[in-house]
Amino acid sequence: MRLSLSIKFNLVFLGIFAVGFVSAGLLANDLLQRAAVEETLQNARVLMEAASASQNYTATQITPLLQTQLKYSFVPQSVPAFSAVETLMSLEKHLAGYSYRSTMLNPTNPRDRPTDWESDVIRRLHDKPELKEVVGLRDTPSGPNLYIARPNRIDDVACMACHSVPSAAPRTLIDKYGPNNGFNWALHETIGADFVSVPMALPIARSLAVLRTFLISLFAVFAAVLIALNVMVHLLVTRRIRALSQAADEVSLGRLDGDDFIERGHDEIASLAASFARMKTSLVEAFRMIEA
Amino acid sequence: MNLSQRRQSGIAAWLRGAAMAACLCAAASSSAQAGTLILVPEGPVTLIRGTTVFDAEAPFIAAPGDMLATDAHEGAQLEDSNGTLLALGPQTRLAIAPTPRAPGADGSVTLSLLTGWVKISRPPAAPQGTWTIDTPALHTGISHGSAVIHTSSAATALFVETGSVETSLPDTATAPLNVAADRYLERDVGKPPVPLARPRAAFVSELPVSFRDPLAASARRAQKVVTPTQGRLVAYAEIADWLACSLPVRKTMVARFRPLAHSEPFRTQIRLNLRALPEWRPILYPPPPPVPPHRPPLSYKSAEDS
Repeated sequence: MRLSLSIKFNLVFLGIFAVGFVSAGLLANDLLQRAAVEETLQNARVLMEAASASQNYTATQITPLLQTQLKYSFVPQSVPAFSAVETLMSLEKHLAGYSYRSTMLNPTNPRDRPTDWESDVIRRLHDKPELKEVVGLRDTPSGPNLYIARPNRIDDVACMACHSVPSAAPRTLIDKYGPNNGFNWALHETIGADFVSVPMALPIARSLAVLRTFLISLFAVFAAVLIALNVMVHLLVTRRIRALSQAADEVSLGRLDGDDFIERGHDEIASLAASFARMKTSLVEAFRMIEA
Repeated sequence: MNLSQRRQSGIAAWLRGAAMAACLCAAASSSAQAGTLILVPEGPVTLIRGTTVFDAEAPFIAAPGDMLATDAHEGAQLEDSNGTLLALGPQTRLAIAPTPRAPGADGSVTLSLLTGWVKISRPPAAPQGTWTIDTPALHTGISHGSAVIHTSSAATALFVETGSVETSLPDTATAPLNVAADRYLERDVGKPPVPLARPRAAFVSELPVSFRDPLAASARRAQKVVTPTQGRLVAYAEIADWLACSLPVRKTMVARFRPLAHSEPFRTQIRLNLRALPEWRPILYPPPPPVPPHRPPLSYKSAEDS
């Protein structure tokens, strides 16, 4: 099979390009996916810290101020978890798909009762107290969701005023939620968990967009390089060698007065042309001496 | 201006002058006492001092006998130098008892609440004296702690936030009733008191919003305390409810407003309501001066008879 220099060159180049393109694509995809997960995880941790800060602020600074109000009617704003949920609820409006839940196995507010999968996570945190955090992925109708769960423990004895036994709780709390919800919590024990769920669809879509842009750019660079190399090979190598070959053919057919081996420049082909020109001159001189 | 009008105008001017002088003396006297009361208005407060009405918006020293009324939107706060705070809700009418029951050396104060809301807070470090708040249905005394009272002419409700409050019924001779912290007591006039574990929903819903928090000394107290000036003579309508109320303070009304009964239209208003104000009858229709005893003529027997 006779393949021109250009075709050979292009075949090799395209082979390398294909391997490089696929390898770079796979590598970039893996890196971007991991970056997306890390970014999501980081966002979720920031949300979790914000929720925790809100709870601490409420417990230490807001709840004491509302003690008198609690004598008249139950003020949910005095509950640290409520303040965190309400605060992050406004964030959820601006960050679609992000959610925060502070769940308890036996909550005061029925809204804080965990779902089945949340109960499983809470039990896992309860059974392994050394776990500070659980990170996982779960499929939802809107796509994969990444979640972080941190255990809820009561370490402040003051909190037990509302969660030990109904008789010790403020009457307004009983009026609101009854005597069966949110009592008999154990001090220092995992009684629930805070969950931050972040949809993975968005970061994945973002990483795919980055990957697509990267691959298109890579392809464009390869294509530009391929075109430029072909043009250069044609202009600097193929065309000049073809001219030299044509001139050599003329000489071989005895047409010594044909085109000379003229090449400008100082590269290898110019040097070859100069050599051919000297050889032609020598041949012409040799023939002239023979004829003489 | 005819002679009658000129005479009335002269009397009114004399009364205003006398009232002003009385006010200044009373304020100066009370400010020197340990239990000085400063009223810090949050909005317009109507002050009746003596027989003069003032519109006060700046802090002033409250004097014994002062009658205070807040407007429909804002309240006021009465503060003494011992940390006792008494907040008045909107549309509240309160009187400080005249001496000698008012600011005593031991920190005792007696107040009459005609209508509206008050919240009182006495710190544990307050002097031993008791703040007594009389209402038509309950008399309450608080030494330490915090409580909210709402009263109308027909009923009184009391919720004790902290400490304890001693109550008695003004119209019966029952033993005083002690109301502990977090307990609620209400009473309709003429009926037995009803103690409850929780305040009624209506009480909570109508409670002034600021009463849901602990009382704090008003920042406006730092402002310069002024003496109310530019008053006007009180009108019958402004004190009609006080004149006809069932509170102990009513007993002082005749002596206090007696000068007004000599001028119109106050005299006519009193006369028209005389059925509800029987104590004013001797003022309007004083009994005739006692007639000297009639001596029977001496009978002389003529010497001729003997």
